[in-house]
This record gives sequence, C-alpha cells and structure tokens, in this order.
Amino acid sequence: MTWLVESALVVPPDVTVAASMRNLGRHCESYPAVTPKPLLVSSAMFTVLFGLLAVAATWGATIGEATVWKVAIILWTLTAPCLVGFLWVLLRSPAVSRRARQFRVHVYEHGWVWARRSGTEAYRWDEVQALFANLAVFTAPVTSRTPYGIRITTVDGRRVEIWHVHVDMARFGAVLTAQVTDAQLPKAMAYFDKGNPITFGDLTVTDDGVAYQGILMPWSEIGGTEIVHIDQSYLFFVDNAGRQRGARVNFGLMANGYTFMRMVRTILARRRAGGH
Amino acid sequence: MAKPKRGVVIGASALALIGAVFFVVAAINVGDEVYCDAKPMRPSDVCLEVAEDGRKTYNTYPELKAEQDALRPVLLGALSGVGGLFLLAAGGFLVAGSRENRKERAQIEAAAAWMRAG
Repeated sequence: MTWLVESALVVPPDVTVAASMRNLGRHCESYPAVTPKPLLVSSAMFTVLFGLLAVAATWGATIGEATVWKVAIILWTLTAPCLVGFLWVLLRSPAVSRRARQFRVHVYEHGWVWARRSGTEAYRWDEVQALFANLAVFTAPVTSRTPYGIRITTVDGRRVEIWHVHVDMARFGAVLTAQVTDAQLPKAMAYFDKGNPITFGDLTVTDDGVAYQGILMPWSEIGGTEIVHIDQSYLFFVDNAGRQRGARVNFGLMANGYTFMRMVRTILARRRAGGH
Repeated sequence: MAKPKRGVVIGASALALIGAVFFVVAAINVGDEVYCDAKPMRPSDVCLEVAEDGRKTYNTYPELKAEQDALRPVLLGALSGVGGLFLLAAGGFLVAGSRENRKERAQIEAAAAWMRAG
C-alpha cells in the first residue's frame, strides 16, 4: 500500500478534538502550509527596486545636491513598508518559522480541519453554503485548471478564505471542490425536483432551461458547460455540437459554480435517458 | 452600502495613500521661493548658468522668479491631477468592492434556500 508522507504524520490532539466535535470521520491526509512565494517575491522585488533608487538618491544628496534629500526621503519611505512586509511574510512562513511548519490542512472523510495561526477550526463538506472559486492555470499533474483561491461561507455563517499562499491548492483545491459538490448536489437536486428554480449568481436553473438575466436558454439547446480561461475564468454553455452559446459568466464571482455545472450535467443526463 | 472586503479596503487605502503623497509633494512645492541650481535665492543674488559649450548666462532674481512662477501652476496642476486620479481610483475601487460584496451576499442568501430545504 502506498501512503502519502504527510498522512503518516501524527495528527495533533487539538485537530483530532476539532474533527471529532464535528463528526468528520476518519483522517485521510494532510497538506502542509506552504511558503507564500508570490508574496515574498513581490515584496522583495519592490524592496530591491525602491531600495536601490533610495541608495542612489542618498548618494546623490551626500555629494552635493542637497535638494535630492527630498527624493531620498520619499524613496526610503516607500522602501521601508516593502521591507517590513517582506520580513513579516518571511518570518511567519514555514521556511523560517518552526510554528508555521506545524500548520496544516487535515482532510477527513466528511470535512477538513485547518490548523493555522488564528486557531484550529473544523468544517464539514455538507456545511458549505456558498463556495466561490478563483481558478488558475496550473502545470501540476493533478489537473490543468484548479482553484488557487476559495472563499467559503458555511451554514452557520462562518467565512473562510484559503489561497495558494496557505496550502498547495493544486491538490487541496481539487479535493475541496469535489467533496463540496458531492455534498451539495443532492440538496440542490432535491429542491429542484420539488419544482423550485435555483439561482447561481446570474444564472437560474428552471424546468424549462437556464435563464441568464431574464433570457431563457432551453434545455434542448444546451449540450453542457465549460470553463474557458481568458483574462479570468468564464463559464460558457455549449450546444450539442460543442459550440459555445449564450453569455459568459465570471466563474470566480459565481457561488457554487461547480455544483451548478454538475447539476446541469445531471439534468441533461436525465433528459437524455428520458428520450428528450 | 455593503462593506467591502478587507483586501479591497487595503488596496483602496494604498491608492489613497499614493494620492496623498502627490498632494503633499504639491503642497511642499507651493511656496514662492526662487531656486538657482535647486538652491534657494535671495533677491540680491545672481544665478550663473554655464552651458555645456562653456557659454555663461547670468539670471537675476526677478527673471528667474517670473520664469519659475509661470511653471509653478503647471507643476501643481500635474501633481494634484495625478493625486486626484489616485484618490478617484481608490473611491472607485471601494464602490466596486461594495457592489461585488452585496452581490456575493445575495448569492449566499439564495443558496440558503436549497441548502436548508434539501
């Protein structure tokens, strides 16, 4: 049997307690906190840029151009927060901080526990009321397009945001979205089957089709949905020949977009099975 | 109006801060001092300008004052204009963030209907 190295680690007691309080079931695997490289690189870049200019201006001021001091002071004022930001991120990252190396996302059968600086909190997949996913193109072998940032609101009103600067989202993002979709789909379908339309952002799923801003696209014209990455990720409808149809919707601003896509697929499969 | 997210507030504050820096720089340069080679002049001073070919030009205080007074409004206008643009962008960023947050809240409430019933 093959085990992930992270899975072999001992789960801390506070995580186990948090997981059992929410009945999360058995522990599956854990993802360590990552060093936020994009934040480090960008803050370091600005520190070096403004720092070099500030040093040059200071040197210019000392060799005679007294008024260049003004410029030097402005540049040092810009350099200081960039340097503080860089050091703040670096010292709190797992690369340097022993405490940060203890932070992890622990995935369980029915949810996950996030142990981080602000505390340890447990979430159940079926408690996620709204999930917004910002997608990115990854070259990771898992998938070519996985969420790099996820914002969640739970049924009890808790809000959590998890980004690629916290944990390896190429792995955890795929797990999280798949599990939440699995938990939400039966609820959405049950509500829909009682004759209720369901709204996902600008899109409303009805018995007759999907409405976008009051314009209905009948089921007979819908072949499926797809996500296209342009400047951001957009959700498109495709017809039975695979051609894009209708309006595009910004996927990152759409609550429960994955559930919507799965719901459309389920309804289309039912219709095909029913001979429509 | 819905409260924008923390990231939006931080971004808007950064833009507003940059705008404020431009206004401060404009305010610093609002004085009527006359400069010769970036050094303040007294009315009795004469400014000597030596060109690259060695040609010398002597400028009196009133001459330079007239020249620099003409440029001052342009500089002030440019700095205030850029500062104003940054402040405007900060405001726009906040308004757009609030609108987006309101839309997001509406979606969360809409999801509550089928989450609870299902």
